[in-house]
Amino acid sequence: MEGLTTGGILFMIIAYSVIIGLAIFCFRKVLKNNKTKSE
Amino acid sequence: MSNRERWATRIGLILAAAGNAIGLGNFLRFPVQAAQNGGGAFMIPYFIAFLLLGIPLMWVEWAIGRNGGKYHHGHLPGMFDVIWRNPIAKYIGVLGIFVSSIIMVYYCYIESWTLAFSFFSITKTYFGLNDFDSMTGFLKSYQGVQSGYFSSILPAYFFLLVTLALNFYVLKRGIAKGIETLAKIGMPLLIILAIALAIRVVTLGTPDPVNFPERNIEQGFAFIWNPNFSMLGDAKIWLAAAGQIFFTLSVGMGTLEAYASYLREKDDIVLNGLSTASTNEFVEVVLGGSIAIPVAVAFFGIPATLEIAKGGAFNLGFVSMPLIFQKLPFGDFFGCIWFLLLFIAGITSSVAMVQPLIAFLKEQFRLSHNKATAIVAIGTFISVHFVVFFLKYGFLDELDYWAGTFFLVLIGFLEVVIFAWIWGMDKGWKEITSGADIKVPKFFYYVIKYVTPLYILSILLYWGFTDALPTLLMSNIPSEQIPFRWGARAFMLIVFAGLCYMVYKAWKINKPRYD
Repeated sequence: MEGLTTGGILFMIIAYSVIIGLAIFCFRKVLKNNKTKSE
Repeated sequence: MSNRERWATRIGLILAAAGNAIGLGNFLRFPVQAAQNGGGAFMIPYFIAFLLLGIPLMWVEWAIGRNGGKYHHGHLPGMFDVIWRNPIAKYIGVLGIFVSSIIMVYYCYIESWTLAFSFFSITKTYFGLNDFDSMTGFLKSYQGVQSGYFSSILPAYFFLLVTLALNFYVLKRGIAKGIETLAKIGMPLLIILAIALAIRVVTLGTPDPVNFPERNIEQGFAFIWNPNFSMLGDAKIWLAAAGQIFFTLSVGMGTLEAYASYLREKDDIVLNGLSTASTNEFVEVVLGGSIAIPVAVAFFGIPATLEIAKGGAFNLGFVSMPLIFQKLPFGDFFGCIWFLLLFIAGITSSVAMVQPLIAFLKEQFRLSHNKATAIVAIGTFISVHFVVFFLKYGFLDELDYWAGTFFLVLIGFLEVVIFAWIWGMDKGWKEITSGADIKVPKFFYYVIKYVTPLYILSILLYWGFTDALPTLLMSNIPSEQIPFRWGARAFMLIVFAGLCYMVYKAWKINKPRYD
């Protein structure tokens, strides 16, 4: 088998970016308000 | 309602829910699925399933849970009874307690293996067993399946007792002091350990450049990520991706609903659910995809790794990985880390599995928390003996197939239908968006109503015809296992019938009022 192809690298970058981006977006918002609303 | 337990912090809840979702599958099942189903191309149906199946189901479960919590219900029978005023609803909800309790019975035993192997790694117990047969023999003799390195099953029994004790100690401390504290310590630790291992793997290069120059880490990543677009036309790939999303997010178990029931009425569930899902995906794709399979390819090559993957998650986790650790500098340390991270992934999931049953006993029979926890602990302790002593006869496999696979999908289907079609999508949408910290696109209204149920139904029908029927008829099962597998089915039936009877009695003694 050949090594990582351009397609493979591209898929890795896209997958990692989408997931890490989503996680950062969520946790930034959560950490802004780490309390429950009725507290 | 004021005396109902609550999560102390939002981040604690998210980490606990993510801990519930993150399990052995994130580190072992995902990379195998990706590699076998088109590599990088697999991520296309995977992300589509995440969008159309994973996120909607996550929100549906959080919404059902928070709504049930308003009526003091931390279990699916009560939650379904609230949204569907039909006598049958609570019995369908029994599946939510049944499935998670049955999974706990065998999951805690597997979890105890990870703790044991963490100990065996740091003490170098298995070091010196440097081929597949010897290592498989070590695992099997530990499990009591065959004689060999261990003269009895006592070590396995000891680690099982420790695991059960830790689980029920956490559960005894309750939601905020027990489960939330465990998640706040365990989840960051798990992520740190996984990052440490991933860095070690990525920096391995070519482990044996003289004899096997073609076996390297880049090959490992190529094995998982190089896209094979020709496979995208195969329906199996789409179903495999949907199945992976389903299992990795731990939907269809009744556990997320139980956790969400301890939220307040005005609390957000949209951002919480999305944060849970994204944490799980980070651990699965970014970390899980960077450890076991790449390192196996680097040490054993692609053909052998394919064989290992076909042998299943246990083969990869408990046989191949220990062989690799023996070849690594500081392998005892990295082996300990690997199994410790699997143990943390396991315990944060297993404490969630019995929470619905504990909540049911407390809320419907007015038992104290300690009494309810003790009853569940005793029940689990007794039941796990069937798994321990009948392991070689397929008892665990039978429980796993029905409770851990088939019924999960069935519950997912039933709950989305009850939520969107019986309770009504307008009410459901209002519940999801109530208190939301982020705006949910209206697109998901239609996805939850139409796409998600059809998506799950297609998985259910496909598995029903291809897997469930042959499994039901026990085709290809060795004859010596058949009585024990029937025993496993009888055990599940008795547990299910017992839970149905308890629900019947609970509603007779104390009929809930929803006015």
